[in-house]
Amino acid sequence: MDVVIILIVVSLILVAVALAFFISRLRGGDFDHGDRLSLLPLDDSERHTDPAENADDEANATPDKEPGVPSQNRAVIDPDKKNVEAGKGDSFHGSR
Amino acid sequence: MEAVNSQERTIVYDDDITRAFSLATIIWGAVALLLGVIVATQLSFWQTNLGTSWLSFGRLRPLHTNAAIFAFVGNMMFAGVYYSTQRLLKARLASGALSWIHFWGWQLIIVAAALTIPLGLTQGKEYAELIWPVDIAIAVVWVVFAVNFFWTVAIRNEKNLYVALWFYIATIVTVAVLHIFNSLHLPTSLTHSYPVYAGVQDALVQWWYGHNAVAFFLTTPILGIMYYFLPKAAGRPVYSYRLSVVHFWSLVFIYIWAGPHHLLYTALPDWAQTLGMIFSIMLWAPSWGGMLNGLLTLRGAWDKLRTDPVIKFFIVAVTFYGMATFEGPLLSIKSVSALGHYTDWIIGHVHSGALGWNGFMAFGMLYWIVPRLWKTELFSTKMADTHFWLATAGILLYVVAMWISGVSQGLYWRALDADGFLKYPDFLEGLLASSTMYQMRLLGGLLYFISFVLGLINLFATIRQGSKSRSEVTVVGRPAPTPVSGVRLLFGAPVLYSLLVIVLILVLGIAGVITSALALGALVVVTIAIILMVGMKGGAAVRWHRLTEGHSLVFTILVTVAVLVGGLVQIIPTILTSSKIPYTMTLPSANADPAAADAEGVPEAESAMIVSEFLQQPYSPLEQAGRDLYIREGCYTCHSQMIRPFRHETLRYGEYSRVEEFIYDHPFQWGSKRTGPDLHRLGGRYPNQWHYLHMMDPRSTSPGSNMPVYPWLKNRTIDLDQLAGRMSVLRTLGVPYTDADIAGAAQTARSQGQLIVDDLASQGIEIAADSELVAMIAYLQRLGRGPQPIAPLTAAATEPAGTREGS
Repeated sequence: MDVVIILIVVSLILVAVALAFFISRLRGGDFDHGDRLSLLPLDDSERHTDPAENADDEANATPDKEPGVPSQNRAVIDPDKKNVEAGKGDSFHGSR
Repeated sequence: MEAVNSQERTIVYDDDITRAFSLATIIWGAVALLLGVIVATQLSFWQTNLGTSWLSFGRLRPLHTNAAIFAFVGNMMFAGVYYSTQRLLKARLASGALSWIHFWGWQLIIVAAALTIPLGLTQGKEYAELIWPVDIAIAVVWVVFAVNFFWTVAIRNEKNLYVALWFYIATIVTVAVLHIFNSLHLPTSLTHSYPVYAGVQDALVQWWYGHNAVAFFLTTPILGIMYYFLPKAAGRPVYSYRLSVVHFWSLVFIYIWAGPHHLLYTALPDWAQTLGMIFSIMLWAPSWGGMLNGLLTLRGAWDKLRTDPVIKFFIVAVTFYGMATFEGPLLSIKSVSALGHYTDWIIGHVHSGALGWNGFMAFGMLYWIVPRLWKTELFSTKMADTHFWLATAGILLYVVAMWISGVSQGLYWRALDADGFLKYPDFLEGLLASSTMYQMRLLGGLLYFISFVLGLINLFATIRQGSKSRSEVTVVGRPAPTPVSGVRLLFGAPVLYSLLVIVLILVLGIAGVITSALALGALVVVTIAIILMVGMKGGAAVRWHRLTEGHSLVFTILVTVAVLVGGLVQIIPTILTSSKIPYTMTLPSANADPAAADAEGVPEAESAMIVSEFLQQPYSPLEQAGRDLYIREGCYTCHSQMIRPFRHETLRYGEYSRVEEFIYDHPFQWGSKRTGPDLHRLGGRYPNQWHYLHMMDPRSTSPGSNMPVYPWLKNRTIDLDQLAGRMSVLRTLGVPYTDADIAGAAQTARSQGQLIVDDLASQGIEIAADSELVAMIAYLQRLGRGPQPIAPLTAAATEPAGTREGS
């Protein structure tokens, strides 16, 4: 049973140190950016368009490597849909 | 976002691949659940096995589990990962070609599984049944997925990685490692192979894989999906991002150690069992931290639970995650495992995870994602609500039935009378007591399946009324590179301290008293030094974690290290230790009265003897062929070969199983479920005639049994010429067959088969010597004892003294 006491003491030390270290890092601002990151899923900048209207763009749709898609080709944003995309509305589910 | 330039760019997301994986999820999910209903029916009504080889329970059950895990959850995971990754990184998938290779490769693998498993082409290890060419295909497709994912990460337009992406990274890295190491096989043909591990090593590697397939295929990616889709559906950020940091690191580090909890009280070394149990209990904390983080994300939005089916599915899923992750560690406590292991309780636990957690998450995600991918509204909210309530009722019926059935079975098996002997010596009593619960399980499964079909109709109607949408986003500039080098991050103080602590704890565990005391002292010194260092630096310290999150390569390396530590600590010592240890075992003497042995569990006359010399002998060619058939028919899905060191088990089955007895078992066949009794010491317990009758019609020898019939074994023959090749491969793996053994394999098999045929003929049964059933009988008669007669002339010489006669 002696070993159990040692194990408990060692475990408590480790937990205490881990906790102290984590709190210290929190206070040091290591996780402050989390407030911004946690909003990433709620980003509402995405636009939905009909792919047929943008077939030419789709063919060249690797803009990440080749930046510079002309801004006039961008879709018109439906403000209602945009709100839904932000997760702020609950009207996306039709009721029949 | 820090930007190095302000140029605007439009990113068009690749949603075609998400649409494809979503459709595959719906279709394969229905198939997996239908298979579940079929095998549940077979357990209640044995006649539904139809006497057909490819429809028998032993073959369909592995197909059901593989379909549920890899086809249903796998496709759902890929849909969720591809959808959320692009949006979290603000980047289109790096390669459309790789995406489609991934998609079609995965579907081909599923089709290959659907063809091979019913044909009996299997490796005989749970959730890893697929044959070696399919294993290679899985590895290749997984690498394609990994390349596409990490390539997309590399070209991202968002500097830091959101927590969901961490879970995806852990999934990709760990599943690759698990799959490759557990699939190390040596082929004997295009469709058959033997694992490089044997016995206890194979068991440990398999359950390291099996448990972590649950952890890193069914849990971590779904947690990532939860961290992305639940805030989206709730319209609120995750409750605590900081808690998610703790959740992630503690979960991925601890999970990998817990595998041995599947092997408690087996022949696995005790230290490994204890490690598995302790780390399983530790899992309570991160799992519930994650669950609470998910549930509390709905703070202030609980009203949506009444109206939004997506939220309903997500919340029940997260609740089931909490239940399953409470139950798992509970079952890992050795005294609880003693009751619950091998029973239906485990089946209930698995399904509360698979149907409750994975199934509800899948439909929460699909009900959210499909209307958006097809630019429409959900066809019917009422239908989704009906789906929800039917599925909830179904899963609750299922798990409650399995809890009752499982606990009952455990109690039946262990019940002793006032004199200390088995109260229910007939195994079937426990099974028959569960029959009502089996029917209730079938009803629950059926409800869940019907609800799934409703969901399927709803989603296809939604797709039909919509049209594909194109999603795009405008980004400005590119993220600045991390200001600190990867090497500096990799060897930063937190990493070095963590590694040092792990090493010191390992030294504490394995070293002698003096070294342990020194390690303990070092641990205290290092701890104090770290506290002082952190205290002095305070807020000025480098923001290590923040920087690491922005450096995907370093982050991935650290995740890999965190994941691998547990596996290496457990597996390396087990593989390096020799299992070939002579031991003394008490066996009844040749003249013992077998009836007395069966009635009281203790032989009338005993003789202690060194048995390693004859127990640690390879299987004869015919026995090995029979063993391959045992694996082909999936006997391990209902029978264990591992007698635990409990009085009630040794009374029922004989001497408890020892690690030394399995050294030539490629693969191990310890099993994880006892719908039928343990078979480890079946050899010699019954005459050949009993085995013949039992395989042809189990009810003739065991009234009330739900075992399928196996008439095809009598009619099919084994290819005797194939035996030498298989023995040759086994010799390469360390089984000590001689050249003469291999050269004479066919003749030896024929000779041993003839002995069984002659014995059966004396009972009026006619069968061919090369029949599959004869090989199966030869294997079953070998279990738990040494070499058996292989020819009439050598019978007396080879039969070991003390071998039990049939009872």
